[in-house]
Amino acid sequence: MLHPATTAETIVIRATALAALVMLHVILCIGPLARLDTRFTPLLYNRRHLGVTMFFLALVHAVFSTIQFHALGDKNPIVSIFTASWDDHNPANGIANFPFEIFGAIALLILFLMAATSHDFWLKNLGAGFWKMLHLLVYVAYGSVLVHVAFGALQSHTSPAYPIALAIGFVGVVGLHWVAAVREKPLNATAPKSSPEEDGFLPVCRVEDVSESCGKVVNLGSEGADRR
Amino acid sequence: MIEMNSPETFKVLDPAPAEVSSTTTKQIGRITLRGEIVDAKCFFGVMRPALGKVHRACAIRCLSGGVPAGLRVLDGEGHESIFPLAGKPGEALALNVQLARLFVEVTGNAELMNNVALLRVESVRRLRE
Repeated sequence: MLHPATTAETIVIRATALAALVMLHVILCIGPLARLDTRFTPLLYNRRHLGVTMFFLALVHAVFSTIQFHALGDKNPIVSIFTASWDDHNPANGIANFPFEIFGAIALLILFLMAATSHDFWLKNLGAGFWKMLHLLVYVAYGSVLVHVAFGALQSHTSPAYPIALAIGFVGVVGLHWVAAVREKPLNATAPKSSPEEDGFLPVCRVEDVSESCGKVVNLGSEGADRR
Repeated sequence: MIEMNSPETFKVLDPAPAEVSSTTTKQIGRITLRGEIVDAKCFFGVMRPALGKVHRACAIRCLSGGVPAGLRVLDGEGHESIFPLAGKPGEALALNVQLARLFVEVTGNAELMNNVALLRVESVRRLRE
C-alpha cells in the first residue's frame, strides 16, 4: 500500500470514482468504435448495462463523499455540497476554492436520469427523439465530470501522471468521435435530403405492428375503394 | 474526545495523573508563519487524508462548527508542524472559515502553554498558490 494510513472510506471513494471515470470513457468510445468497425458492434448492445453500472458506481462515490466530507456538520449535508466552497467564492482568488463538488452533483443528476430511462419502456413512452436528446446529455455529464476531477482531486496531487491520464482519456474520446464523423461525412452527403413521403413512400404501420414471420395487408391510396 | 485509527498503539502512561493546578505560559515572541489552515479534529483524528482540495469542504464544516483551527507548517526538509491557532488573550479566534485548506501567512504572538506551542493570531493574509 502506498498510503498505509488511508482509511477504508477513502479507498471506497477513490476506487469507485476511478472505476466510474474509466467506465465513462469506455462507454463514450463504444459508439464511434462501432461506427468505425463492426467488430465493436456487440459492445453497443451492452452499453446500456455498462452505463447503469457506471451510474451506481458514481452513486456510491457520491454517497460516501457526502457522508465523509459534509455530514455531522452545522449544515444539511446536501446544502453543504452546494455552498461549502461557494459561500465566499471569488474567481479572482484563482482555482484553489473553485466549487468542484457542484459539477459532480450535476453529472450525477444527468447520469441518474439516463440510468432511470435506460429501458425500452421509457424509449417507447418518451419517444425516440426526446429519449435520444436526454441521453445525449451524457456529453454534458462528461464535461461536468472533467471539471469535477480537474478542479477537485487533481488539485490535491502534484504528480503529473494524473492530469496526463485524464488528458489522454479526453483526447481519446474526442479523437474517436472526430474520426468517426470524418469517416461518415461522405455517407451523410449522399443520404437523401427529401422525406420518405416526398420519395413516394406512404406510412403504413410501425415495425413492431408486424408480427414475427407474418405479413401485413394494407390498402394504398384509393386501392381499397376501387375494390369495393 | 478523539477517534483513533489504531487504539492499540496508544498507551496510558499515568492512569491517575495529578490535576493541573495552573497553566504555565511562556512567551516565544511575535512571529510570522506560512502554511495551510487545517481543522484539528480531522488532522489529528481518523480522516486520512485530512488535507488538500477534496477535504476542503469538510474542513470548512468543522471550523464553522467550532473545531479548533491549526496552521500546518513545513520546514525546509518537508517536516510538518501544527500550530494551534488562538485569538488574542481573552478573545475568541476570529477566522474566516473559507480560508480552510488555503495557504496563508499568519502573524501573531507565539507562546508555549503547558509546553504546547500555539499562535495567538493578529493577522491572516491569503497567499497566492
